[in-house]
Amino acid sequence: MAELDLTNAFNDCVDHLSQGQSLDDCLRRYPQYASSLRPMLEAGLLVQQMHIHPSEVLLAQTRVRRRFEDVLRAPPPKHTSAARRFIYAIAAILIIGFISVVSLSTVSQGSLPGDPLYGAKTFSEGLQQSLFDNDTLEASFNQRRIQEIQQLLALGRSEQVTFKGIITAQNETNWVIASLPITVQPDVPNATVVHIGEEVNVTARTSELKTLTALNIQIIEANESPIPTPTINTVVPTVTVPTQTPTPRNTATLSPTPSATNTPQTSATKVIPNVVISTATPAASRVPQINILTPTECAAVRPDGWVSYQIQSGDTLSALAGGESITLAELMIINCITDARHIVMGETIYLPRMPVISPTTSANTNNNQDSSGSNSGSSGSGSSSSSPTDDHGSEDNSGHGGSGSSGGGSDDGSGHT
Amino acid sequence: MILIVLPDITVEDRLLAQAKHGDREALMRIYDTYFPPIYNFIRLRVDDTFLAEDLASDVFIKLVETLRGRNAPNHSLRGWLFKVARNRIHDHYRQNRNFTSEALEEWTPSPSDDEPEEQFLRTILVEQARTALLKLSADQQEVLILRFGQGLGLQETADIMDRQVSAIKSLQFRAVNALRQILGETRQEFGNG
Repeated sequence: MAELDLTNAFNDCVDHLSQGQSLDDCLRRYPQYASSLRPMLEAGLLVQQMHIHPSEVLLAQTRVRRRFEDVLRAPPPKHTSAARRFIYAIAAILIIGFISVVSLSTVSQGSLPGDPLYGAKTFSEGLQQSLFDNDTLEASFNQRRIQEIQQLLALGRSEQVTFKGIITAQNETNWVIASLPITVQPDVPNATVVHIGEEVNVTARTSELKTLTALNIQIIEANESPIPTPTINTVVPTVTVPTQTPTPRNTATLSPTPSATNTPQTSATKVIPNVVISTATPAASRVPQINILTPTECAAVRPDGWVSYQIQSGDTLSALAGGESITLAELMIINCITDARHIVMGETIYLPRMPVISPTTSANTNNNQDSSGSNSGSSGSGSSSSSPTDDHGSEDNSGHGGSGSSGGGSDDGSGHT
Repeated sequence: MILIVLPDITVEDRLLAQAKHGDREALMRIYDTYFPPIYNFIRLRVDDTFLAEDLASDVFIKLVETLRGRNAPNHSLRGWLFKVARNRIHDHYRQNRNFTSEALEEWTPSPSDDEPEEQFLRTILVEQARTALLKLSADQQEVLILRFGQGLGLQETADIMDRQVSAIKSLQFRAVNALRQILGETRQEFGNG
C-alpha cells in the first residue's frame, strides 16, 4: 500500500516538475515520502537536463528541412482510394469477361451440335436474344440451326438438333419442314395433328445415313410474323438444297397454296436419289440461280480426313465435287458457298481428297438433272449476249457477265473462276 | 533548467487541420515546432547524429504522406510524431541488433555560457546520467525521456508506448530507481578510482 502511495506521489511530483514546480515544492506535499522521493526525483531531473547541443539540433533541422520541403514540393502520388480500386477491379473483371465471351462466341461460331464449343455458341445466342429481343435475330439464329443441320447431314454426323419452321410437305413419313427433308413417324408427338403451313418447333436427330428423323414436334401458336421459309421444290430422302426464291421477304407467300412447282404431291413422286438443285420460278423469265439458304454467318469446318484445296484457274465446283464421292450441294454446304458460280481462284476450300480429274474435262460434266431452270443457261459455250443473265444481274454473276463464254458455263452451277 | 515549450493542444489541432488541407505554411510550422523535441528524443536513444537525422527526417516525411492519405491523425499530433519516432527507432534496432554504445563520447551535454564550478559539476553529472540511461532497457529509457525529458503527461506517454497508464506509472518508478542504482555504482567506481 505504502509502495503504491509512493508510486503515486512520485508520479504526481513528475507531473509538477514538468509544469515548472521546484523539487522542494513537491516534497513539501509528501513529507512522509520526502526522503525516498528526493533521490528519485533528482535522478529524473538529470534526464530532464539531458539535451542535445542546440547547434547540433539546428544543423540537423536545417538539413532535414531541405528534404522535407522537397517532399512538400513533390506532387502527391496518385492516391487510389479503396472505392476507386474497387471500381477498377470491377471494370477489369467486366472487360475480361466481355473479351472472353466475345472471343469464345467468335471461336464457337463454326461449331456444330455435339462439338465442345457448341454450348458457348447457343449461350451467346441466348444472351444476344435476351439483350436485343427481336424477331430478326431469332429468325437469323433459326437459319443458323438449319445451316448446322445441313452441315451435320453433309458430314453424316449423328446429333440431336432443334429448329423451327413451317411444314411445307407431308407425304406419309416424308415431310419437309423449313426446307429440310425429315422423316416423321406417326408415333412422333403431334405428328398427326400438324398440317402443311403450320409453324412448328422440331426436335430431330441427324444420322450417319444423312437423314433427319423427327423426335418431337410442337406447334407454335400463330404469330404475327412467322419466319419466312424458303420454298421447297423437291422431296428427297437425302440432302436437299432448295432454292431460295428471290422474292422479297415481306411479299413471301406464307400460305401453302399448292403451285405448279411447289406441290408436295408432285415433288414427292419425283424422288431423286441425289441432290437436286432447281429454281422455283419458270426459267423463261428467270436466271437459274443456285443459292443455298443464305446463312447469316457460316463458318466452313474441315471435316475429318478432308484436305484443303486452293481453287485453280478453270476449276468448277461441280467438277471438284463430281470427281469426288460427294455431291455439289454437300460441297457447297460444308464450304459455306452460297453461289456455286461465285468461286474465286486462289480461295481455299475443303475437299474429301485432292482432285485428280482435270478441270477442263470436268467442267463440262453436268451431273445436275435440273428440272426446269437450267435450260436457258445450259447452252454451254455461252452466247452471253443472248442470255438474260447479262442484262439482268451481272453483279451476282461473278462479274463475268459480259466477258465471253464464261457466263454461259456457269449456269450449271459450276462457275469458272 | 531548459524546458521545451510545446504549443497548446488547440493550436496544434488547428495546425493539423490546415496541414491536412495542404497548407504548406502550416506544415512548415509543424516542422519547425516539433523537429527539435523529436530530434532530441531520437538522439537520446541513438548515438549516431546522421542516423538520428535520418530517423527524424523519416518521421516528418511520413507525416506528409499520412496527411495526404486517409489515415491522417485528427488530433494529438505530438503524440503521433513521438509514436512514429519510437517505431522508427525500434525498427532500426530490430534491423541492427548488434547496437553498441561505443559512440557515447560524441554526446555533449548542454553547456552553459559561463560555467561556474557548480554548473560544471552539474554537466558532469548529466553526462554520467546519460551514460547510465543508455544502460537501461528501451522501455525504461523511453519512459524517462518522455516523462522527464519531454514533460509529457502520463496518458500521452501511455498512448505513445501503447501501455496502460498504471503500467507507465510503475515503469517510470522502476526506471528511475534503476537509473539511480547505475548512477550510484558509477559514483562508487568514480570515488574508488
